[in-house]
This record gives sequence, C-alpha cells and structure tokens, in this order.
Amino acid sequence: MANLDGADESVLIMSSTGAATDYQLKWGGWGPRIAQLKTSLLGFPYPVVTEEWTLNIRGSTAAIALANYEKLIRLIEQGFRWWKKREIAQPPVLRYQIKGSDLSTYQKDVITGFAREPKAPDDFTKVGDFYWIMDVRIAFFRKNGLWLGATDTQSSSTFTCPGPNALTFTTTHVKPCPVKVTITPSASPFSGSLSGVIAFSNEASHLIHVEGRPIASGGDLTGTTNVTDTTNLATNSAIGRVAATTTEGNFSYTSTLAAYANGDHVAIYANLKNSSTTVNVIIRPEVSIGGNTMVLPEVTILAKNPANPQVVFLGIFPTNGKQLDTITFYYRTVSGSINIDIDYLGIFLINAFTTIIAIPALTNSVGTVIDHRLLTHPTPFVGNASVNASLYNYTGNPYVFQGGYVNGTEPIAATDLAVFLMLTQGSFWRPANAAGTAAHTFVWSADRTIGYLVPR
Amino acid sequence: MRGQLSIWNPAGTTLLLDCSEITTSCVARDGEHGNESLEAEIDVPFHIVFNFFQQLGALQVRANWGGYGIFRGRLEDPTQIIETDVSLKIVALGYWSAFSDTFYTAMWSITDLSLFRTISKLELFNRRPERYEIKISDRILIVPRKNEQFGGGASDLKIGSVVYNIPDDSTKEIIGISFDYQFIAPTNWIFQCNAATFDYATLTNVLSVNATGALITASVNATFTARNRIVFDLLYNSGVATTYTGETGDGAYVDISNVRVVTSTTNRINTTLTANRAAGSNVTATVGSTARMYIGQKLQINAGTATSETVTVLSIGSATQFNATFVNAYTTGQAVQAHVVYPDEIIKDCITTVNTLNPTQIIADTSGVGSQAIDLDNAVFEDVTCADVINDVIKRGDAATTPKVWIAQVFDDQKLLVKQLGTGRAWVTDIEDLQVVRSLTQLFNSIYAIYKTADNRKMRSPVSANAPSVTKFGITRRKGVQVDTTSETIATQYRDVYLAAYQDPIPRASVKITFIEDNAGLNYKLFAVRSNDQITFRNLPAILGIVYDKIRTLVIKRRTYDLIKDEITVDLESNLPSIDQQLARVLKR
Repeated sequence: MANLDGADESVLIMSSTGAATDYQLKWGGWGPRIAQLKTSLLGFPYPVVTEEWTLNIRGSTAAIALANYEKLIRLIEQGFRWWKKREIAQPPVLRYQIKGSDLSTYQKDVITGFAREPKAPDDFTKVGDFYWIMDVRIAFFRKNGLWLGATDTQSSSTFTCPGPNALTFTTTHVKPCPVKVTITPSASPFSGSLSGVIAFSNEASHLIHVEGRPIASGGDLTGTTNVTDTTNLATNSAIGRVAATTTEGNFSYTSTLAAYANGDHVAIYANLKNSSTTVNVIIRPEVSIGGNTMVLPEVTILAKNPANPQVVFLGIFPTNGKQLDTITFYYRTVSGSINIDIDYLGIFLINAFTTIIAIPALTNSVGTVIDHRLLTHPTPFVGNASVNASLYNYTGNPYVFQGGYVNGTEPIAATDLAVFLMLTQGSFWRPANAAGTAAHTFVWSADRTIGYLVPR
Repeated sequence: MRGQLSIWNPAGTTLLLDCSEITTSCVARDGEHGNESLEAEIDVPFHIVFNFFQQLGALQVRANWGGYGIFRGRLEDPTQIIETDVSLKIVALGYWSAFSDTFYTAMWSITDLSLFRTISKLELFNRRPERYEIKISDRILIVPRKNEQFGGGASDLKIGSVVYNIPDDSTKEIIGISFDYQFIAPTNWIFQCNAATFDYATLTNVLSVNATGALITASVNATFTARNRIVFDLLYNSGVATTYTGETGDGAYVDISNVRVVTSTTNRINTTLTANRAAGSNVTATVGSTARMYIGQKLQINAGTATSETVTVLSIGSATQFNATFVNAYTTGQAVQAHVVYPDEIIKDCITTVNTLNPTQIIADTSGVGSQAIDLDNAVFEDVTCADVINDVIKRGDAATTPKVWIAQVFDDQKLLVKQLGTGRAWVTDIEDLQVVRSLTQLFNSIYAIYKTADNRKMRSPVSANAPSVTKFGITRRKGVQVDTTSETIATQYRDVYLAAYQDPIPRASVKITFIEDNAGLNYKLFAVRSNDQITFRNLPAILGIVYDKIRTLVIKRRTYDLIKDEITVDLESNLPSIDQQLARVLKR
C-alpha cells in the first residue's frame, strides 16, 4: 500500500506468504471482494466495496509494533481525509498482485476510510526477536470496485472535424476500463473558443455523420436545398437549407445501416444555424422503426446569434437492436419565416460503450483532457490539459471502454475507440486554422487503464 | 452511457461541481407542473458546501443521461441542509417555481359592472353626480334629475360620469371596449365615452353622440390608444346653465349595457359580412371568417353607426356562416366584431413577465403554450403570483366537443408547456398484480355552474348530467362549480369541462410494473416516463366497462425516479388535480 500523503511517502508491504514484512496477512485472512455492477445511473459503473483484513503486525519492540499499527491506521484514515474531507492531494493506493499473476504490474484501487473502527491490541505475542500484534482486524472501503492495471496508450493521426476518427489499442479486454482522452489541436488554430459535443464509441460505425445537404450517394438529408458555403468551412463545402414558416415542413434521413442493430438507443444531434435574431424554430422528430412511428418531444431552436451555428440535441429514442428506417424532422415557426441551415447531423448509437459530452466552450489552442481520475481525485476532470485544476463546463461522463457489443450478447473483446468531434467555432461550422481559411486538424490520444473485477 | 448529476451557477453557464461520483442518494420527481423536485445527498466537505451554496444564490441542478435531461431545477436557500460535516442534502425545485418569483397585476377583460363607480366633484372639478340619478346594476343608467341645473361653461358643465379604473400598476392598459346604449335627451345633451389616463389629463374620445330628442339605440366596438380609465359622461353642452324640467328618467337618460373592457385585441373578432343580411329571427349571416366565434357569444354588427346592434350567436354552421337574430338589415362589407381574450395570451404574458425579471429561469419562448380557445370575459389579477394566474386560467379547460382539462409544465429545457391533460407520450406495460378500490366520493355526474350577472347577482346555469354515468352507478351526485364570468355560455363551458372530468371516478389502484414500452413495443429507460404521459396496462381486459377502462389507461400525475436504485414510482392521476391520486409502483426493469 503506497502512502502518498504529501512528502511522507512510504510503502507498506504486506504478505500472506511469510515474506519478511511488518504486516503479515493471516493465512486465509483476506481475499478481495468482487464488486457488483451498481444500479445507479450516476458515475463509474462499479460501487465501493468493503474489504476486511485479518493480519499480524510486528515490531522489534512493543513500541515499534504499535507504531507500525498506527502507521496503517493513519494510512486508511488518510483515505477518509482524501475522500470525505478533500484535505490532501492524493489518496492511499492499494496495490495488489497475487502469486502466479501473469501481469507485470500491480493492480490498484484507492482506499476511502474505515468501514468499522479498528481497536487497539489487547495483547502481544513475542516470537524470536519480534513483538507481534496478532489478529488485527481492519475493515475499510475500496472506492472503485474495479482493480486497475496497466495503461495502454494510443495516439491518432491528424484528422478534421467531425470525424469519426478511430484508434486501436494493442490489447483486448472485456471488462470496463476507464479511458483518459486527450484531444489536441495539431497546429496553430483560429482564435476563439470551440463549442459542441464530443462523442465516443468503441465502433466508429456507431458515430454517424449525416450530411445536411441532399447528395446522391446516401448518408444525407432529403428535403433540404444544397447551398454552397465555403466561407464558413462547411463539411464538403456545402450545407442543407430549409425555409421555416408557420406552415409545417419536413426533411428526413433514411437509414440503410445495419449497424443500428448494435445499439439500444439512438441520439440525434444537429450542427445547424437559425439565421434569425427573433424567430424561434420548432423541430419535432418522428422516427420510423419497422413500420412503427415514434413521435419525439419538440425542440426549440432559439434565435440567438444568426451568424453562428450551434450544436443542438434533437432527441434520443430506443431501437432495441432493431433497424432504424427513417427519421423525419418536422419544422415550423410560431410566427415569421427564417432559413434553417444544417451542415450535418451526428447520429450516435447509444449503448453501454458510448459517451456523449456536451461542452459549451472549449479552449482551442491547447489540449483537452477528459478523465475519470479514479486513482487520484474524487470527481472526474474535463479540462485544459496544461492546467490540471480548471474545469470546463460540460454535461456527460468520461468514457468507460467495455469491449464490443453484438446483438445483445455479453461484451466481447474489442480494441477500437472512436471519437466524433461535433464542434463549431464562431461563425465557422468547424474549428478553423489560424488564417480562418480551412478546417483545423486535431490529434487525440487515449490512455486505457485495464480494469479487473477479479484481480489477476 | 452513464448519467450525471451536476451543480451549476444560477444562469446555468458555469459548472461548479460534477456530483456524479460522490452522490449517495438522488431522487428526481416530476409532478403536475413538470420537473418538480430533486433531492440528493452528496459527499461534500463543509467548506465546499459553504463556497458553493452560501454565496451564489439559486444554483442550478441538473440530472441528465447524455443529452436527455432527467431534471433541471434550482436550489432554494431554505432547502440546503448540511447534515454532517461531510455530507450535503440538497433539495432543488423545478423551474415551474420561477413563476412564483413575482406577483402579477393586470386586467385583461371585464364585463362586471360592479367595478364601475361614479366620479365625484372632488375628483374632477366639473362633475356633479348629485344632480343625476346614477345606477350601476346589470347596466349603467345616468339620468338627469328634474329641476337640477346643468351646463354653464366648460369649467362647470355639471357632468354625470361613471368610470372604470384598471388596477394600479396593471401591466396591461385598456385598448378596447364594446357596449350597447340607448340614449334620449333634448338637444345640447351629449353622451360620450372616453378613454383616459389616470390623471384624466389625456383623453381619447371613443364615442360622442349628440341628443336629438329621439331615442338612439346603437352598439359600439372600438379600439384605441392604451389608457387607464374608461369614462361614460352625460352632459349638457352649453355655456348657459339650464334647468332640466322634464321628469326624471322620462325623456333624458343614457342606458349602457353589455359592457366589455379589454386590454388585448390579439384575438378580437374583426370580420365583415360577405353577403347582405336582412333582419330576421335565427337567420344565417355570411362573414369572412367565424374563427373564434362560439355559441352564446355577443357580436357587434356595424358597430358605431346608427344601425348597429349586438346579436347573440345561436349556431355556427361553417367557417364562414353563423346564425343569429337580427333586428336591422345589413349589407356586404359591414363590420362584425367582438372582443375575445384567450388564456394563452395571459399565460404568454406571464412568461414574458418572469423572463424579464429573471432571464435565466424561464426561457422567453412561448411556442409551447397551446390555445385553450375559450373566451375569458372576466380576467383581472391583482397581486397574485404568475403561477396562480396560470393555474387559474388553465383550469377553465377548453370548449372541445369532449371538454378537456389543461396542464402547465416546465421540464429541463426551462420552457413552459401548456396543453391538454394526458397529451404527453403514451406508454404500455403489463402489471403483475392489482388492487382496486372504487370510491364514489369523487363521482359527480350532474353539474351546474355558479356565475354572476354584471351586477354581481349569483346565478346558476342549467344542470348537465351524464346519463351513462348515472345509469352505471345508479346514483346522481350533483355539484355546483364556481366560475368567474357574467356569461352563462362561458359558465356552461366550464360546467362541461368539470362534468367530463368527474363523471367516471378513477378507482384507487396499486400496481407493480417491471418495464416501459411505447406503442411500437420498444423498451425505454424508466426515466423517460414523465408526468402528463399516459400509461396503458395492456394485460387488463378492455371489456370490463367504463371504470375498468379508466384503469387500463391513466394519466401519470407524478413520477419519482431514483437515480441510485434505477426505480420509478408513478402516481396515476384523476382528471383534475383535486381528485385523489392513484398510486402505482413501477419497479426497475
């Protein structure tokens, strides 16, 4: 167990094998508990577990044995101070590796305090040159439930928004693995902040880019008008346009993708622009699956800055692994008329392996980190890579990689992770280069920390 | 995809704390008015509690699943409870509560003549009410007294006046009026109607009629620049004072009736005859549009002219034809007018009021406010919260063939929705067990409305009964319902809304459910269920009759979602908020 409380760093080594250590787990005195998936909707998918040790603590004198006992107590208390009182920078980390493990590194979790009060010894046993405090019982909380092992880091090549862009880990693993993601502009960008949505999935095919303009090759909207827009860096240099009036009109997206069988929900986001300062537009999506129609709640596209596109959440609906046929978007104004321009839709297949984070304002010149920080902080971090303390405004959770998904079976081993950067910048449909003349490029990297329910 | 609980600054622009990893309990409730409350316990040290919750006002709390908003509301100071030194219990209320942030004072429409009064000499120097018989009952009568002296120059005209003042600081000002009058007097007498400012300094003349010695009968429907008062004057317009020697009430009086004063013309009927209309009883008139007309409504025909009159709509045959009894003959192009005030106008003004006061609480978008399309002839609000105003007008329901109750809700987009009860999304589920207790205490299958005339006399409408309900239950339970109107037509509209809601009592039911599907058979997350949605228990037979049909499909009044246990509880609603709730337990899938 590593003590990282300020400068007083030390390591307490325990053993149940008789190795020379001041802390000796009794034979049969501990086996890690296996966490169960929590029902909670919030946060990391595994709950705190309660561990209980029975161990013997030694010292060359009775006073040293007691001091060693106290050191252990202080460490666990340190976990409480870190978790509950936020007093220190880092928590005590419990490292564990079983004899015969095929792993080259320890597996880790953090301790967050006592589950029950320990008690002082009522007797000493002297064996040879050592004093032993026998049968000490320590019950404590282990925060993450999951044992975190080695980190697999991969970096992408450069790409432009929105993507998707995928990278491949070198190892396969089916259990949940927290992933720390860093997204970095690859060159000097245009000034001004970015905003929009960042989506992650273990399948690039689950992050679908649908052109707003009608094109012949599919993957587009029907019912919009093709309008060239190179000035604002529209994807493929054009956008789709509809004229919204008080009379309801519609445009639609027809899917031919079998990938929908691999999601249990579908979320729809749009990169669009309401060209008015006063006229709000109402959009009402209707979804057709297997001949049945679902009517989603209305969404208001507020008239704000008419020059700037905005990323808007249009709705989410279940597919239960069924093929999506058509999404029809009905639109109207309450009064007045205005054009709605659409660069593209982001249609995301949602399952346990998808994360969507909405970020209203993102610094464009430095990297952005999205991290659970499971071994270092009580709360996640979405922020500036160069300033670890600042948060961005965001909704959503950091990513948990959990292998693949095929038609409702158990998760399977998978190695890919894809990102979809649905970001706008001022009047640009996409982040711009320094001159404002071309779409800006990004690179991203992912640190996947292997998680083990049963330590190896 | 995992969920998130987060705390933001009051404007919702700065994230202060992502609580997702440190929340130990969290329950979000939807209620009658949308997102109702969220209660959570969060492991937060005291100093962080202090920083976040004592300095920044009504912080915003959000619970979401990706882009799907489960709850959005605001922390209110009295509900922040620090239970221990390391735990914070928060109670956030949904943004409907923003409608209670301010009081609302506005007059929209009146027909109640008890709100009129005479003007004394002390108030206006040239008024002499004591020289007139002035009676305000279901009509306004101004009659010069025999042997009193009138006229005498502009500074001493000895005018008899009746005035209506809008409430002080009303956010709306008078811009329209309609009335009928009968006026007879010798020459030099003038009857006039003016719209005035509070200090009478600025007048807008609505009507001025010179007496001819003969009876003048006419109707007025006018609009004008916004003013604070309506004044009816009868005066002898001469610089030479003259004694009136006729008998009081015989040969000189003005009789004003069917008065309606409004502060909105958004839904005013202002169309024209598109065919000549001869006088006749229950005859068809053809107009440009019958939009916003209703049976029993009073229409001013050719208003402001010598051959004007007010008719009552007897039936509406089409989008361009209605029936009424006409005393006079009219020709194509002559005006057909009526003042109409709809509830959605008032509700939208409440949105504007709240958004202006606190722009971060309720968005200004009014597109979610549906129109109940019922006329409110008496709508005056003084020092009541906007929440009370909205509740007051939505309870009036609508005038559909089967009248419906309406509901006002605010969810995570901070946008007010006003629509019919039960018009949310439709869900289907199976129940595993069922207990039903049927109660007659909330059964009312025979209703009459209680309203008042323009002179404040309490009236009772004809009784309306639902025969199938009376037959089914073998008992007639009769109830009178109060409605603020002087129109029997409007009163009976509300009577019918109430009857439709109460004629079939909903049994108290307790059910267990394990999943939620839509009509296409797709499974949804349990938190997708919201209040005002409908839920159908498909494994109950539909053939059990009226009562049990109401068990099969019910409206969800309250949804409680536990984000930690992933469980929902739904209270299944009766058709009016005051009816006992039914409780159904929905277990997690």
